Amino acid sequence: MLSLAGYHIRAMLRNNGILIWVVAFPIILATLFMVMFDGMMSNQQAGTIAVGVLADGNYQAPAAEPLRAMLGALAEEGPGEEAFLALTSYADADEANDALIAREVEVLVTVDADGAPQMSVPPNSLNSTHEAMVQAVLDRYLQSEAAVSELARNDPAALASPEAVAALTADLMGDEAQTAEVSVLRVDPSEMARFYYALLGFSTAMGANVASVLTERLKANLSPVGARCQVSSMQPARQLGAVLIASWVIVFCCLMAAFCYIRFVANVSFAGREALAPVACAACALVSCALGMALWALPWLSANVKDAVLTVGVLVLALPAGLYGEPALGLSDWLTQHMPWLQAINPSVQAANAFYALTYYDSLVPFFQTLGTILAIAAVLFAVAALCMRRQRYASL
Amino acid sequence: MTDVVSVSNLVKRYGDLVALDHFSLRVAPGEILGLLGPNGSGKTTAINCMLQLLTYSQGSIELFGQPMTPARYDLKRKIGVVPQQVAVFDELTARENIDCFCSLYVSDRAERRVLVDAALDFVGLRDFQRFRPRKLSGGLLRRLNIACGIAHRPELILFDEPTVAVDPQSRNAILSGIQRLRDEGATVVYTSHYMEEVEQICSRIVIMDHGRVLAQGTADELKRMISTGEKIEIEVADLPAAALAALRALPHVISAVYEAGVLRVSCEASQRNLMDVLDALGRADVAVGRVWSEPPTLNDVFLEITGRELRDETPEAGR
Repeated sequence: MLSLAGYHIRAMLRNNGILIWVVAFPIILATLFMVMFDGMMSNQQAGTIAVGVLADGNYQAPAAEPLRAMLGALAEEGPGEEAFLALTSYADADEANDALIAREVEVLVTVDADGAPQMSVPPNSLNSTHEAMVQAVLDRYLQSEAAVSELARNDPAALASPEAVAALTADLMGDEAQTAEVSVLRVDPSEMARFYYALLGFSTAMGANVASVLTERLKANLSPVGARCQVSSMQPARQLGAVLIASWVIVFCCLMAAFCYIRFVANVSFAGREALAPVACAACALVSCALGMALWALPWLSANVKDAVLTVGVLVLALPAGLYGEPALGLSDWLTQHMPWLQAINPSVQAANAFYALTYYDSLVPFFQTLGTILAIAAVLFAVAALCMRRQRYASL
Repeated sequence: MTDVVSVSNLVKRYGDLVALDHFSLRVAPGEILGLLGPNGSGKTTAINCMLQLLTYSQGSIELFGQPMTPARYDLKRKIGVVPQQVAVFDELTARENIDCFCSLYVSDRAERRVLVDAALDFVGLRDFQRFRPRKLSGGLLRRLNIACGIAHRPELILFDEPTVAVDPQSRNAILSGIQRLRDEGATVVYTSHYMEEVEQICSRIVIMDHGRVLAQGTADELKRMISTGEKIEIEVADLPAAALAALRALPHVISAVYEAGVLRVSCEASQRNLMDVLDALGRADVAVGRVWSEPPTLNDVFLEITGRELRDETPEAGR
């Protein structure tokens, strides 16, 4: 049985079609994700924002003192943090505008005669995240100023003592959030990471191709080689065992390759639990093999039809795992909420869930529960394959 | 001595089509039995039933004196199969293919190495052992197909049309190889629709058509079963009608036809056919050119039994 398994492994490693689908395709998809997400992330990333300031008379006037103080504070580096703003002062308006047009700065802040800040953006601006952030800062400044003016008009006593003014200023200008952020997960969730987990789920289903090709070679009604194997003196159960060993080894290696690529090239976080990834890959490889073997052991369909069913099936199974973008993620969440049983029997979803649970939950219980579900699906599929493989005679070949 | 193969009253239907109609067959140890019939006659179906790949509605199959069932792995161990369609792994080399199929019968690696070497030498593929199937010519591929079926030294080997689409050189190599297997003690069932091959290597021949056994015996026995004993062809520039009538009146002549300068005479078995025909032509002052005389062939046997040529092409049902 081991010799046969060895030859199956050798044959699959020399099968370009299998290598493309099972090894290259997930890595190509991961690369596409990287390129796609890199563009999205750079558009959304905070980083230090280059802000130009027209340091004219209005800006230097006492009325703009709070604004200068706020911008100055935001341009200072914090402990272990880079500065939010990188300020560049321009004495001359033309010089400032030239710098903006040349995109040396991302926004230009000027102050009008009333001391109110104005924001200019470069021509053909794409309304980047940075512009929105500076706009939010200036909005907040204006709101605070309005609140102080309102307070001075309605309750002048509140601003009577220097201590009260200082406290109010600190309160309005401070960077302390008014709502507390509480995380129930080990690490901050990343929307992008879910796509990569879904990709691992997709790879799990795609891996069924290996077992399917090898199972086809055991069945007399599916291939001439299958007929040769079936008339041999090795029992079908042992031949099936050889297919299981071979396909598991190959799919496991492919999943590990995809995992390593996602972790070390795409830099997707598994929150320090990388050591448990092989366990997840092992379980996923098992359900992948079971899926391919069960489908190909079914006595009813021809090899061509089974091939089509598997290809479509892989794509369909990956949909509720959330592989195809935001709508798919939404569908995944909706199904999890309203039809959890459908998600529970989907190997792609469970594989994606395993990596999600591994990364985010404090406890490993959800991770192992998901693996338990995966193994249960695999057991059912193996039982189907074994039952179907018992049939050795056919009405026609 | 117990027959190696004993098939009795086998009936196999594909829907309304009767592929095997009370088919019976016995193969004695050490013989090469030829199963001869046109495409669609049921040869492959019979083989597949014997191997328990196909269900059948009636009849019994015994191999080595034991009832054959799908789970008789002890009997399967003694059987080698060379299927009509080349059945090898495209990704493995010739040697790896032989070893892989041998591993389905023999688990010991060292023992297998000896067997694989022997099989490579037997089919003359030693120089091509590292070649993958797609690099092999059609003839070499057929030889690899054979090596994969015989490497485990089976006692009964079923060859299902192993020489289809094979060049004459490879065909001769295959046929002499089968005879060597018989000499080494194997029993062979050889299906073909090439009567020359069957006549060349088979000790006994079963002629079948429409799933039925029409006749069986040695080649000579089969030829004696039919009335045609000899076919004579003579080049004749001009043949008067009287001379043709005189020929037809000869006692052993079955038919005489003159067409396009060639006289074709079909005779019953007799020692003097050719002399009698030439004497009759001489008496009629007919100038004779080249003369051919040949004994009856298996095709004549098939033609006389069924009324059609052995090589009539009909689709093989139920493949």
